[in-house]
Amino acid sequence: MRLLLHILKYKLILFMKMNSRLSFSSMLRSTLISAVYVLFAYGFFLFAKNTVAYLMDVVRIGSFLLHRFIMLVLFMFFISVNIGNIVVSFSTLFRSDETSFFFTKPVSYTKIFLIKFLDNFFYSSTTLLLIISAALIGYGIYFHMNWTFYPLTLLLIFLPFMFSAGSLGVILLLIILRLSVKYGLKTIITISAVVYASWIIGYYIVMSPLSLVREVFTYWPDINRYFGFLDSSLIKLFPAYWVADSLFWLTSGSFKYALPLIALNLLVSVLLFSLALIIARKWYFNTWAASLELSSAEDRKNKGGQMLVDFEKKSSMNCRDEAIFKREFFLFTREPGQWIHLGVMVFLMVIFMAGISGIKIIVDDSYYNDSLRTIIFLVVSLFSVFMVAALSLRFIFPLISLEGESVWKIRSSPVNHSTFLIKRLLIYFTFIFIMGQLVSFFAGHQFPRTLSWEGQLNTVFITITIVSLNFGMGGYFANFKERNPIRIASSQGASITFLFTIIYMTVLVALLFLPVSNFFESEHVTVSAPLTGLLTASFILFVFSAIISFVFIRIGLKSFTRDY
Amino acid sequence: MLRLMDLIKKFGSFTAVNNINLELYPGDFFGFIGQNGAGKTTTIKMITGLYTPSSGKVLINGIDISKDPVRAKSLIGYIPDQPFIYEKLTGREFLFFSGGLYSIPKDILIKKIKDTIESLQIGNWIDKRTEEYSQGMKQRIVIASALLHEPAILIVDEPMVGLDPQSALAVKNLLSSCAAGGTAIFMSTHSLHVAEELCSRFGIIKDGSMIFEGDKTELEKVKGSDHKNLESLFLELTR
Repeated sequence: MRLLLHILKYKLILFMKMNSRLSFSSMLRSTLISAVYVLFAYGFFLFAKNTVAYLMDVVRIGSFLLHRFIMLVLFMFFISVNIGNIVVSFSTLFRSDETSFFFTKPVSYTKIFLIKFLDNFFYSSTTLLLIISAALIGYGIYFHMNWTFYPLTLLLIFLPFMFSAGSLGVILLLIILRLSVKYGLKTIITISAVVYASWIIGYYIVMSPLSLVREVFTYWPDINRYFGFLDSSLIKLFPAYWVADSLFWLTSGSFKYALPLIALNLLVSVLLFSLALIIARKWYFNTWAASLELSSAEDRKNKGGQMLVDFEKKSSMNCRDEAIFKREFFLFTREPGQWIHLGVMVFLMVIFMAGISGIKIIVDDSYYNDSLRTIIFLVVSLFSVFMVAALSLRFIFPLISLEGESVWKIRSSPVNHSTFLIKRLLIYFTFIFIMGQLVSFFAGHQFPRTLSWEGQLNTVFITITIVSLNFGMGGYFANFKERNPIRIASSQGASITFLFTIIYMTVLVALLFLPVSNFFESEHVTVSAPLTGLLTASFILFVFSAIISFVFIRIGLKSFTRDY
Repeated sequence: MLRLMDLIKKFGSFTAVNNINLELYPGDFFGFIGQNGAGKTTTIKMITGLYTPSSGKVLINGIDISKDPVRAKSLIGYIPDQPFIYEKLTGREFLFFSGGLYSIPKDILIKKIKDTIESLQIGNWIDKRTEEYSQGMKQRIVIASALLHEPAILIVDEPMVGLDPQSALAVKNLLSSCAAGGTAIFMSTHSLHVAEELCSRFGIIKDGSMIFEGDKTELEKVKGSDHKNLESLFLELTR
């Protein structure tokens, strides 16, 4: 225990020293960053409070349905933390120089595992905890909860919930690596991905949000009571259910019903964490040693077959472009953290695209008014923007940092840096652009054609802006020493970038609300020139986006000329 | 060929490199010697375009590196002190990538890589990912990559770090043959006997300023009878 505290003490000193250089510019930067975080938290607070109020007071879905929606969000949250921990842990537990350093010292494997796990968990979960805290306050204020509700819920419900997700992540990682030694990394990852995806799809099929809404609404207007008998018994096995249901009982004032669920959540968290430690004690070092062999084994396998991309093959591109594109291809495809995460995100987008078909019912139903239709259109559009933002944050923000300590090679070569960066950016931009257009199409095609085209056009401007924003901010906050793209994408700079994206999204809503609302109204009342309104909004968006894009692309390009 | 004119680099109020002037010609083998923190790597980073000088100029064959970096850099080969290379590429892929950056046609590049692999004896592990390499292996790959385009000027920062005696000898021979072939070499090193063995000209830097610059004859003069070798002279000058 003393050794563990000793190491943690020095990690803390290191962290403090990294963040406490006293100069005017660093203090100004820290103040601005803190202000941005406060704004960020305040934004989430408002969002949570108003969303709960809107669903409860305007749409009147009732407390039970509200908490089932919260359960869905928590399930996605659990998946994000879980997958995030699998991917990040691979880098921090198996690929970091610090781990190799500890292995040469008289420190037990379990302690090394514990240190890296905690480091990993708190580093990547700080922003998430901030979001949860802000959202929890917004939620609690709506329900007039006592002040003790907030710290206790955070510590006894949410922290164990996230800890379960993180622990399960490293357990899965250790199992995947253990099996990969026998059956090959790619085979095991493919099988794991299929099983994981089936699990998520299965969850949604069993949960079936739409049918739950219909069933609950058959009891209208008596929908504030508990409809637990409508829940599938399988759903009750998941931590998201325990958390959501305990929140339902706490806000209903029935603490005695919440207590067993809170206890179960805590117990499972402790059990999963203990299980992770037990498995780590037995397997960590062996899997670490085996992981070093895995990539070279994959290489040897690949060598046997015909490689699709090969440096030795002739290409129609010029020498420099060929070198840049092939390097990018290999660095991306050989970094599991990159392609696994991309696969997961694309998968989630496909689920979104498939799931959005249910919206048509509401769009076509005359029961719903124009304001609600406007909100649905904007929410669906914002979801598409959110997808573009998530992809950009994950793959564009780390773009410059990922040049890493090998950046000297490009910087000292006869390559135009701006052209080089733009070419790299274009590779990822093309992919995000296509994904953005696809998501926008599936989100918009159920709305009237004019709106659908409008959405498609706006997505072009939005994608260019968000990609440019992430590129510029990624360059400004470039960290060539960090090799892990997920850690880069969850750094302080990335959080600030995400906040800027949210501000941009707010502007977007402000810009589109009136023209879209007018457009829906124009279907049954006379509204002057609804199309002109939409086109004007698009034009303003175009000008606004062009300015932002220009500024941030310049920042990104300029950042690469800084002294290395 | 390489000309440093009144080169200054400041980091805030600290002057890392103070008014360095130097001119190298084809075939010169310049040994740049100094204590840790004297300003050697900072100077090298300015020559290779990694740092922008606070004032002064770096001219490569008359081309100002800050005005026309692409053309200037096409004439340089750079071997850094820390051989950071892309871990997910194999040594061979890294060489192909490097050659591509210098626009070497594929047919010529394939032949050059083959020759370099033979001369540096790196064939046994060239197709493994560089994340599996030792420091010395990485260093040899970096050296190989710097020579592919037959640079007019070779900038070398501590070339012997991490090399075993056989590799060190191979690298020394390679650098000597490059200089004999007309390449101007600017080499920073801590190893005074390596400098004495290989270099035709020397520069000693202390606290950012060049305190000695001259060829072997001038060095002999300064050494005189008091200093038997470069090491004792260096210790005396940098005291």
